[in-house]
Amino acid sequence: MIVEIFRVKVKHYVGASGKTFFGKLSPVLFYFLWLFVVGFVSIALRFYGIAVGALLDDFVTALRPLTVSSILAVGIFLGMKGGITAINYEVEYIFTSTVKPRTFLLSDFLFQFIFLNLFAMPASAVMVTLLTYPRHVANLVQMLPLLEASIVSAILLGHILGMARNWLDRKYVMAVGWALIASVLLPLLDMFLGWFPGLKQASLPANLVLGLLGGGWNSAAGAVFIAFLATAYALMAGKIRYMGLAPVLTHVLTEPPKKIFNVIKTPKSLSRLFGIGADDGPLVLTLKIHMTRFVRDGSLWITAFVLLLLVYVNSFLPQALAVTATIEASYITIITLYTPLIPALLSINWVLSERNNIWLYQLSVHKIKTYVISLLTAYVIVSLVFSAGLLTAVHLFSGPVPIVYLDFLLLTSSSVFGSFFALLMSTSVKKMPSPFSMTSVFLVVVPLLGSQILSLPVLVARLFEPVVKNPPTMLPPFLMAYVLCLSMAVYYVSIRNSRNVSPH
Amino acid sequence: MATYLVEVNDLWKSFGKIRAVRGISFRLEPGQIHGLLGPNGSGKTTTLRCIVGLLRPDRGTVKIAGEEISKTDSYKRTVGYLPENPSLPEYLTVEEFLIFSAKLKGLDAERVRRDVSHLMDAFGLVDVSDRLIYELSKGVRQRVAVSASLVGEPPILIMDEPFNGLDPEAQKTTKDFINITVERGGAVLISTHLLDSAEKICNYASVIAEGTLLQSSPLYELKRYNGGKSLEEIFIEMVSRRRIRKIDS
Repeated sequence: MIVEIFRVKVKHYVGASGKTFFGKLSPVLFYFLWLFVVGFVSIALRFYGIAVGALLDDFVTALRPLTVSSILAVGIFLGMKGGITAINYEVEYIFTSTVKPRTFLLSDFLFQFIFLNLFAMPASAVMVTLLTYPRHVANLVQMLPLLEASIVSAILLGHILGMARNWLDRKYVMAVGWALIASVLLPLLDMFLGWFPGLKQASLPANLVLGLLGGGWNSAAGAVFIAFLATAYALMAGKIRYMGLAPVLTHVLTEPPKKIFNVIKTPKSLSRLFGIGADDGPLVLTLKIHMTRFVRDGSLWITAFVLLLLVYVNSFLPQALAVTATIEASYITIITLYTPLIPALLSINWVLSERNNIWLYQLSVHKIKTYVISLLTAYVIVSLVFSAGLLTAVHLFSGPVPIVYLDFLLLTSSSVFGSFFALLMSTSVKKMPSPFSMTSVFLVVVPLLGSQILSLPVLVARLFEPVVKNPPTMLPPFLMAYVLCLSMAVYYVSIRNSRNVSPH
Repeated sequence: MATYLVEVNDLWKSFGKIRAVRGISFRLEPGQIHGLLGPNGSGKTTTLRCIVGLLRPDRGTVKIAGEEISKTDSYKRTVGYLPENPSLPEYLTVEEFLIFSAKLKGLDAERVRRDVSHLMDAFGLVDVSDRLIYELSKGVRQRVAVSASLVGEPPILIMDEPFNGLDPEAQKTTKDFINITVERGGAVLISTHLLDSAEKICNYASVIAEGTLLQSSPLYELKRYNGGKSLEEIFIEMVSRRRIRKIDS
């Protein structure tokens, strides 16, 4: 039965990829694109390592705790949301059948295990090989078992947190989840920044998994930790009931989702921040509607979480590579690189959950252009606020970092161009995409790449230290004019393209 | 002033190889409660979506209050539309959504407040005004959607399965609003497969099957012509006759 449930789940997913040849091929293309991106980044890092004379074995060593902590954090986060993935039909038919919850859980374990391995293992192998060839075998022998242990621990933790809802109130599960996330991420602060000394040695989940490679007592402690999780899992799985579960990803991974996030309740004061009133004009009203959606449907918080996690994890790379001379430039580059991810993620959510509400605007007396402009404005506002917040955080945590006009220009261009591309992509999509279709890839990649390409002159100027210290007289007005003119051009194209936007 | 509030002339609409609507024509006069009746997949929803301008017909025209909808947007003020299974912004509260719907109709602030308050009262939504649409049951959601279509007292109502999921009380309220609309000189087009409801409320009926209009006439004429049979009997006979003819051919 475990395999049967698993098989139907996979069929459901593969079947959702489409009827056309290209549609059927899209998960494969998606997979190879993923490997290509990982390979490309690895080769770029390899060249960078050669240029700065850094031994990339150190980089791979530094990558280990990052990988373990990230995978565990994702597992725990999923666990806080419910942990167990179930498609709608599974909830309606299997949860009401005589199939035991333990059987279903094991099939979900199998699904998550194979799925995560499929994505993480070959990609890691490619990365480690490209970074450390010809010493790759030794690194692979260390990295891959660690990855496997992290994946198993992450799924176990996620399921355990999900099952815990049978006995604990949601808020207690959330509290345990946040404590666990802190426990897997905080050791990184000690490892890379030397903050909270001793955390690296503490018996925290990430350290225990990492200890598996240490030999002796460390390996034994790691093995005991995983065995403890497995035992707890087995004991809990035999006692839970379906009604105590809160499955996640009921649409994602398997079929074109209607929406990723459920509407979340926020404090009234926060909800009323963008209070929708009878006196608002059309543009302000729709802008408020978008902002309310970001806050209440959770897309804002998910985006913030993803962005913070990426910036947090990647901010250790400069230290790992000992590139400390231009540390603030590294931080700013990382923030700039990820800022377009904000509108990209918000636009995916728009495609999945909001686009079908367009009929309300199509039948309104106001022009659809008003709606599109307000959506664009909302993306730009959120991107600017987030990136400015991150810049301020860098400023606070890295000591007094001189912030130059180029930083503001870079964040502005990155936010604005990212938002334009996100709008352009999301309004061009005709059908609701499945999560691993090429369309989904484009929805993220195009805003990221497009924004980087258009921001390149500003980015190059920012990273070239002599220019930052002694800018040529004509450079600031030239760059400002460049950003302004290009913004106007992409604005025109994206608004023009969105004129005929309609529900799926 | 045009004689007809809605004129549909030779409407055609296909989705790929599927011809959903094939040359449908009918008219709505003031005071008419027009039932668009047909089996599942007969093209009712597609017809309604073409009429309100959500779908562009392949051929044919739709005129609302004498103006062709492909050439103007002014008709949007005069039409209240209720889709079948409406997609609603689930992150808004009931009150916010109704205010939003009223603003989309271009109403001024005072009128927005008055209409929203009146509709919430009439449909028993006052107690849930602060609740997110996401939290509502199917029936209450439908009440919200019906209220939104009535905001601004539009003289033309286009309603796709309006009684879906409504409890008897809300059904009565909806019927009352429909009657008020026609008493004021408006017209209502209702798509439904609930023939009992249609028989009670409509004074005109159009029967469609497989995208083709089989009959369009006042309800009393339709019944007289068919020997006083009930609408259900007439409908089933009409649709079966068409099926037999199709098999024969």
